[in-house]
Amino acid sequence: MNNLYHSIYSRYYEILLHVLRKSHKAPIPVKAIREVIQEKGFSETEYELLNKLISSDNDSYGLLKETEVGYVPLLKQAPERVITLQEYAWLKVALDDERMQLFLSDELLNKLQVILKDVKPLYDTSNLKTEDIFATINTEFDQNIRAHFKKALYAIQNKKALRIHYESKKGNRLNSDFLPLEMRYSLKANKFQIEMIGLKHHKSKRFVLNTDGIITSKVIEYNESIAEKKIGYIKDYVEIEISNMRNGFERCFFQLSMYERESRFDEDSGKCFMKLFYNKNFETEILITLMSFGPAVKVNGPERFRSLFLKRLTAQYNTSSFLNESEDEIN
Amino acid sequence: MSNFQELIKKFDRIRDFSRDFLVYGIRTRNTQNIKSKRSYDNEKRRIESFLSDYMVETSHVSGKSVNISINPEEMTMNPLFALWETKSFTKNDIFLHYVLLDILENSNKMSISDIYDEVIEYIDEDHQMMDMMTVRNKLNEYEKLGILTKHKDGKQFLYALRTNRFDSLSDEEKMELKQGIDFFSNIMSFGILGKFLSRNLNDSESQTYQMKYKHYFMFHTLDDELLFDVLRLIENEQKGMFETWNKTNTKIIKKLCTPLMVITNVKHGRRYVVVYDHSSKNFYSLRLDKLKKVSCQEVDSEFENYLEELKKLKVDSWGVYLNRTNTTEHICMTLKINEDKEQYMIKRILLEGKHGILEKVDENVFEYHIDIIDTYEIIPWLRTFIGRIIDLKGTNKKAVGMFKNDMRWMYKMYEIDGECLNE
Repeated sequence: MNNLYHSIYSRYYEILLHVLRKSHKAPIPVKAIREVIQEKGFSETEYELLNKLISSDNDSYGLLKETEVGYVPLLKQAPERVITLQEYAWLKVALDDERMQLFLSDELLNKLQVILKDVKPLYDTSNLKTEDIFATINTEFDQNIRAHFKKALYAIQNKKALRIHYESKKGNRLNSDFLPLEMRYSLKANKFQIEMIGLKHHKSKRFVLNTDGIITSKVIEYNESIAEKKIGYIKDYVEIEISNMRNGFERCFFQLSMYERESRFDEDSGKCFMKLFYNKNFETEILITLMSFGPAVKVNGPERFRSLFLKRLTAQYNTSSFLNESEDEIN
Repeated sequence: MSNFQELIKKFDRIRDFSRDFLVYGIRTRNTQNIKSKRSYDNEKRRIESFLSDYMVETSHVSGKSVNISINPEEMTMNPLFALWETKSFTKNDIFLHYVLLDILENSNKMSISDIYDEVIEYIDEDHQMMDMMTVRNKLNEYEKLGILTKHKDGKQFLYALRTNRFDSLSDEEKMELKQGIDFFSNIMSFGILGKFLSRNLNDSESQTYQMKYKHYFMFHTLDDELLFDVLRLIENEQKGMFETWNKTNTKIIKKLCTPLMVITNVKHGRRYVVVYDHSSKNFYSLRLDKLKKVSCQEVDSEFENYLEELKKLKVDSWGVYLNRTNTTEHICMTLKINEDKEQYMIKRILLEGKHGILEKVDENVFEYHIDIIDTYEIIPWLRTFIGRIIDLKGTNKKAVGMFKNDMRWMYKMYEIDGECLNE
């Protein structure tokens, strides 16, 4: 029996913690209690919780007392959160993962290992396998990679620029100043990517660089104001129809659930129509993902994306005559 | 719905509905495969309350469908984690939580009777008195959760509050740790525990940089309760009674199995428990999202043998299909790749092609071949090379035939024929 779904993790406990802390500083009016619930709670929480906090009847939680100046807590001190053993046990698993080295210094890692020395890891990671992850995964991070990673994080967080010498897997070299905008982690590639804007020679051009391709990096000042439009990603969409051949709905919906989308089921045709939104930087990926579904998915638009899809199909039509080998056919 | 309560007792009440709203989002109240419409209304209302920022309602002829729509470009922490914060409780639970912590905060070790004496001091005249057993149960529950310590002292037990292990960390170290924990909350199983841990390190959630994610299936968190039970069985080498939905989600099937490993597919988003099924005496991959319940059975003395055999089978498996026939199928795909300009394509095959071999057979012509248990599993990946496939041959004629028929179907769908090509 596990305790993942436990009442101490309930949002209501968390709300009460904030109310009790506030009321410990000074008596708190109903309005302020309501504000905490509205800020921290779910959309219907106020109707259910407020009365249980402020009323004095037997159904209330009995942890606040009404006075002339507002509600005061019955507790002697402001409450602290508690940490359960399974939370520490979860952290113990995370600390043994090489990727944690990117975030923590050796000193802190060692300190935490001592702090948690008597804690058994929550689970044995060797019993969990990952399928379809890239084959040549780099799971070791040397001091250089760790330093570049930390500088990139620092630069994004503090709106600084980076002077980078970079070599891509394709062998392309870059030596320039960039403004890092965002860092993204791909679970399939086990890679951290930084989306950047070129500042000097490549002014305003967008780049997506892998952190393991950085050879040297230096944080530098950047004083120009960043235009908002540059920070946002370029959002595009594709419209598809999905048929339920060979359980196509389930295959497609599961795999495409990582994207933002609008879907509707057409009862007459028995097909689903979906508008799929994606980051234009990753257009090729969405293109081949849709291709992988075969005839279960048809790309309807927009025309530009459809033509990219058709280009590959047409190239295939022109490439080979292997479809003429009728002995392989099935009905 | 006058007796509607926002919180719930068991997670599985919202597990299936939230996945359906997130993954599909096309079914209406009338087209849902559910026994009780009232139950649908209640769970829908709850999920709308828990995830109000992400709910989209669409009107259809058959009614309204509900979709949880999340833009991954704006997601830095899995929004579905909110569902883990919805467990119901009694007023005694929440009262004792804060009162016991308040009592023990400044005390060393206290006996149950001393604690009880203090607890009743907190209860005002409007509230019903609680008995000592209620307090004792809560203390023992918190001891099991690791919040309290319990030591025997003569004939009685003494309870004390465990110290926060992060107290010795500086504020800078806490922020550094929080950054790491926030990342692992999203990418590691049971990430909700990381989220809870993270808020203990700093109340202000905006101070660390929040990363974004690719190839991230946020609905995996919904199965974590069952995953936990499955992993316990594996660690203890125990059999389990697995109750899973059938393919059409209309019937629960019970199987006595020994779970051996859990596989997460980062491409398709599915997670499987690979088991040895004692009735068919074969290996199967059970979908974790279709698992309804698993109950613990006796230790399986053959566990190590099954695991060894499974590892050998896995060597030839492209995905999760496994069987004991000891035969593999061969598939060979010939590709056109421009060596000067398309090195990325060669790298992609090496990264994604698993145990297959890529060989140059002519100038700008490569052959990828592999032996696998089931050719059907590799077909979606082969399709990603459409546009450059010169030939495809394999020992599973039906699977290769299906690939080719699908190609013809696609040409027809997009009206690609000689006339169109001449344009």
